[in-house]
Amino acid sequence: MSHDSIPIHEQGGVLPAGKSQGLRRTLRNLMFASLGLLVALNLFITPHDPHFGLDQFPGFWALFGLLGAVVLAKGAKGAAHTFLGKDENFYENRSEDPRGQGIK
Amino acid sequence: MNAFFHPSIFFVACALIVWMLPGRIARWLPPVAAVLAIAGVLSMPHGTFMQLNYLGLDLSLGRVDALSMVFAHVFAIQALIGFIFALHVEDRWQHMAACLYIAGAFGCTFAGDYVTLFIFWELMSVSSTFLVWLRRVPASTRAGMRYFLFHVLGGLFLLAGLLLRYQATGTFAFEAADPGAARLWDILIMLGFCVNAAVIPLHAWLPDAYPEATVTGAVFMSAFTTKTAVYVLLRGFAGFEILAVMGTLMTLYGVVYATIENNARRILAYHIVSQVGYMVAGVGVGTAMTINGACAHAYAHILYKGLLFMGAGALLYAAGTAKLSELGGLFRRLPWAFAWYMVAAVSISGFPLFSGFISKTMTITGAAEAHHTWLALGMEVAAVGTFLSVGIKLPYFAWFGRPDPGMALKPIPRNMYAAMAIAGGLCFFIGVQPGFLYRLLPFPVEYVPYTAWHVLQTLLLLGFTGLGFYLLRLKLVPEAKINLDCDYFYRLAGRVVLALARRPVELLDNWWNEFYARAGLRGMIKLAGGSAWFDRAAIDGVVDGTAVNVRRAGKTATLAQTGQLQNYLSTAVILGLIVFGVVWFWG
Repeated sequence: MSHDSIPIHEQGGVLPAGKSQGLRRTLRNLMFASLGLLVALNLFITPHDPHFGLDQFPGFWALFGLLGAVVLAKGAKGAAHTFLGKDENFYENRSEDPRGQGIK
Repeated sequence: MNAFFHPSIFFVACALIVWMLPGRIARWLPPVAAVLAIAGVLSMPHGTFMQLNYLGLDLSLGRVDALSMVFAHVFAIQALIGFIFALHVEDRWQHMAACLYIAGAFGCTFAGDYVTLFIFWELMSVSSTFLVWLRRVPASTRAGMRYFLFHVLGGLFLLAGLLLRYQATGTFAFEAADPGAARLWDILIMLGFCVNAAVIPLHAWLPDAYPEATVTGAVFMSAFTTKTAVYVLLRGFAGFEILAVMGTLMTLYGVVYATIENNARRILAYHIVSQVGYMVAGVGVGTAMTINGACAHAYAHILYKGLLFMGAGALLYAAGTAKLSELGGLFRRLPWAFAWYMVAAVSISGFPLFSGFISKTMTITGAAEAHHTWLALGMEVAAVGTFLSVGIKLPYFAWFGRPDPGMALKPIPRNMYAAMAIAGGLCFFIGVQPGFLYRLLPFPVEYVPYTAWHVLQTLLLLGFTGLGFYLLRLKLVPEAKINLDCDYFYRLAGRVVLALARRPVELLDNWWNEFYARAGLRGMIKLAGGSAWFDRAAIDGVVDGTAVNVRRAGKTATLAQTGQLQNYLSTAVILGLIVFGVVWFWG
């Protein structure tokens, strides 16, 4: 039972169809505003004991989080699409036991 | 009342009583044992108890100090939460397995010598195997078998190490090893512990078996096996540099796999590898601050990881699948499961006000202050990955993501929600009252989690991780696939051994057949010709029916030998417990 045919909606099934566009835009703007506010606060609040050079610059941890997430997601998905990802029945098909029952 | 009651006694007794009662009644007993265990732990004085001399060995079953107390404390609480979550289960075997498993965990926690530790260690691995098998589907039978074999291997490392150590030093006492002068036996014992702590590359049993366990069994397993291993590593191997490096690699390895996995419970299993990585790294760095951090993180982790497995288990229970590619849009129909899952998700991600924040940052700051800058940075990357996969990806694709597929949902029992509420409440309580947890830690705590900078740094890190997900949300759609891991090599090794074993057996078999056909058969035919006459002439009338009786006896013996490993194992464990109990009380 896969839903691959159903397109991914950003707020699918949760918001009423009519309101969803406006609300989605509001939520997105809210997210950008709060992220901006956090970076602005970083100008005034700085680490009490920076452990290496770079972490004293405002915005370092914001960049770290964003780049970390992007590199991790891209890297992991890349690995899954090249050599890690296999069909769900990969091990069962290789099994010596043709019925795939294993030890009962 | 200040006396030492070993909590394992409550759970072993409970297992034996549950064994004799019908499941309908038996299910009410384990929570009672857990309440008794909590009372026992809270009233426990520090010291060494239950020392006995058996066959010339000095055994110590009750070593109580600050370190064992932290773990016993959270084990007792989680036992109660887990049994409330499992209250609707009428399969008394599952309750028995869980009781013995928890008894094993407490036994390891209070063990003062390696012999006691080994006995309880094996009790844990056998009984937890049943928590996998008792789901009673072919996939769990196979996964449980692999799980069990791998833990046998780990147990053998431990056994070899402790025997070599005894031969060389003449003692089984379980004390800290010196990182500067580690001997072969120390390494072997550490390897045995590392199997249970799921240190890479010995970890693959965990994401292999946990997603196949019963809905309630996985909640127990997520709490006890790896954390008992963290405890014994803390006790024996603090300051071993290799653990600091491996721990940090674990934090990263787990989140990479969690990012691409499809099965919700497997995502959570990979996050155990990742989170236990923080603890193992804390053990490896070995300063007072990181040891405190490892203990605090173990405490917080048991509560939120149990809650995560309860949330994913509730999904599996209701929808019949834990695969994200088949779920989605369930927010309207399962809002409470979502709410409690999110409490655990923000806890594991380390959001301020929740438990992960006060424990994870302690370990990372401790590593940075001990000048392990690279390790600290690696752990920060893993924190990003944790929020990305467990905090956003999993709930987004399970509860939102696409329109409700409209599948029929089985109603979730109330006791499941009650257990989730208790665990969620504790995650929040520890997050806002860190002093409660910090007072339990083995060293005095100087770390202050709630400074303006710590809060802002965490919000920046996690907020922009969220932005990363927002930008890549279409790339991260779960796919109905599995991902290769080190278990590929375990399985390969299994096939190689099988092939190697089969060839000589086949050879022998062929040779024997050949011999039999040439020499045996001809002789046999002659003999048969002679005896046939004798048989016809003399015997038949006298002992008629002998052959039938032999066949019947053979059948009875076959029935006793069911060939089912689980039956042999359970019988062996029950017999072992009875022997152990007799020795314990009259020894």
